[in-house]
Parts: sequence; structure tokens; C-alpha cells
Amino acid sequence: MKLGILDYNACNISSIYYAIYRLGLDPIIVRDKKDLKNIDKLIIPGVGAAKSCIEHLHKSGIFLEIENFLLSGKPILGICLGLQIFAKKLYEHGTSNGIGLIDGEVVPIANPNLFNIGWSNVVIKNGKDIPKKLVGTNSFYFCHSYYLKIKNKNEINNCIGFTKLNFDIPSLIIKDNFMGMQFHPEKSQKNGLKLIKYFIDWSPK
Amino acid sequence: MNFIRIIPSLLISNGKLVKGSKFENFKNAGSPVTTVAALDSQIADEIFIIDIDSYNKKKKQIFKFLKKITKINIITITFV
Repeated sequence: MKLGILDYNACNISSIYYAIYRLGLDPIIVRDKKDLKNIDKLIIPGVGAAKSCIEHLHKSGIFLEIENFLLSGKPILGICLGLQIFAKKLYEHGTSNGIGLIDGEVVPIANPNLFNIGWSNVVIKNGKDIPKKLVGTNSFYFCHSYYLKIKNKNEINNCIGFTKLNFDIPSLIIKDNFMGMQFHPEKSQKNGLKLIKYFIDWSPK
Repeated sequence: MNFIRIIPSLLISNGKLVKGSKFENFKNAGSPVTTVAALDSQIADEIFIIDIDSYNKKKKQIFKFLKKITKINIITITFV
């Protein structure tokens, strides 16, 4: 199995690279859209500003390739901004349109900006073939100031994990062949590695 | 939700871990890479690394050295 990490000039690839390397796999770093065709699983890491990221994806042609990758049924893991670009609309540094898999909007946690940096609890629900050892309350490392707001009731069923700030934010989403995490599993020590391991073994139905 | 976080702070000088008393007499205290690995395995929440040379000598920040640390540890690091 070939695991690819997407490099789109707005992410920290090395920490996710070493986290996977620790689990005994040698991931490929994808910089060009041609490389995406040779890959079985794709990881889109996070940290960055939404607008410049999406502009870069359009400019390099990777945006369309990600959509094709999604349609092909191969698993995708989006971390932080990697999750947020799958929403319909993003309001970070101006409005921009995302891939549109998840019916939701990316909005600031609070105005003026409130950052959520540090460890927070994620309550993971039972369901969607989630292994029992992952169900329950675990702490993960967060670093974000925008979150994915979901209004659609059917869409909320796809949210497996929630985090309580002043209100609940969806932090773990599984939809079709897409898995999204608002927290950073590559920085969340044991708990994070468990989830990355789950993604590596995961075969969506 | 608030947590009690344990954040060890380490002083670095010339790429080595140092320990002083009252900000003087800094003594070598081993390799930072292995120390961070030990703290990581003891589930520290974050690690704070301070380069005490960077202000006086106006050295460039030592990213190569940080890369060495992050290569074997998956822990959040704050570097000053």
C-alpha cells in the first residue's frame, strides 16, 4: 500500500511524516498532481490560511485531482485545514469555495479571534465500524481558530467525535471514504497514533 | 475544558542541554534529543526549549537541531 502526504505549501508535512514513519510505513510526499495517481491513500495535513491554500490548489491543478481521488473511492484523511477544505464555504481571509463534500461552513470560533490551542477532550461515539478501544473520551492536541459548522441534521450523523468548547464542535468526521480530524493526531502522542493506525488499516465500505 | 498541563522547560547552549544555578555556572546536562525522548515517553504535554545563546550571540535559530528532535519524538515543542 502506498500512502501519500500532500504538500500544498500550507502544512506541516514533516511531523505527520515522522508519525507515520514511527508506525512502520514509508509515506510518499506528493507535490505534483501526477503523483496522486500512484497512491492508494492520501493524507492532507493542516495548519495554514484557507484562502491562500485553496488558491494554490486551484493554481497547481491539485484541487480537481483531489475531487477525482475522492470519487475513486480511495480513503482520504484530512487534518485541521485538510478537513476544512472539504466544506462548502470557507470564511477565512475572505470567502472561498471548498470541495463541498460536507454540507457545512468554516467560521471563526468567536469574534474577535479566539484560538483553541492545546489539549482538549474529544468524545468519540460508537458507530461506523469504529473500534471499541477508540470509543470514549480521549484528549487530543488542537491548534485552530476556525471550525466547521454543520447545520444539516443528516450531516451531523457523520460526525463521530465532538469537542466541547463554549459549544460543541465536530472534531472527527467520517463520510464515505473521507475521514476528517480537526485536531492534530500527529502531535497527540499515543491517542493520535492509534487514530492514524486506524486510518492506515481502514477500508471504507 | 481546562487541564493541568505539565510542560518541562529545557535550556540549550551550543546544541547541548545545560543546567545552571541563579542564571550562572551553566553545566552540561546531556543530550537534548534523548532527554526529550525520555520526557515524551513519560507523557509530558508539551516541551519548552530555550536557547540561551540566541539573545547574546545573535545566533541564527537552530532549526536543524530541532529537526533532529522532532524526527524521533511526536510531542509539541515550543522553541524560543
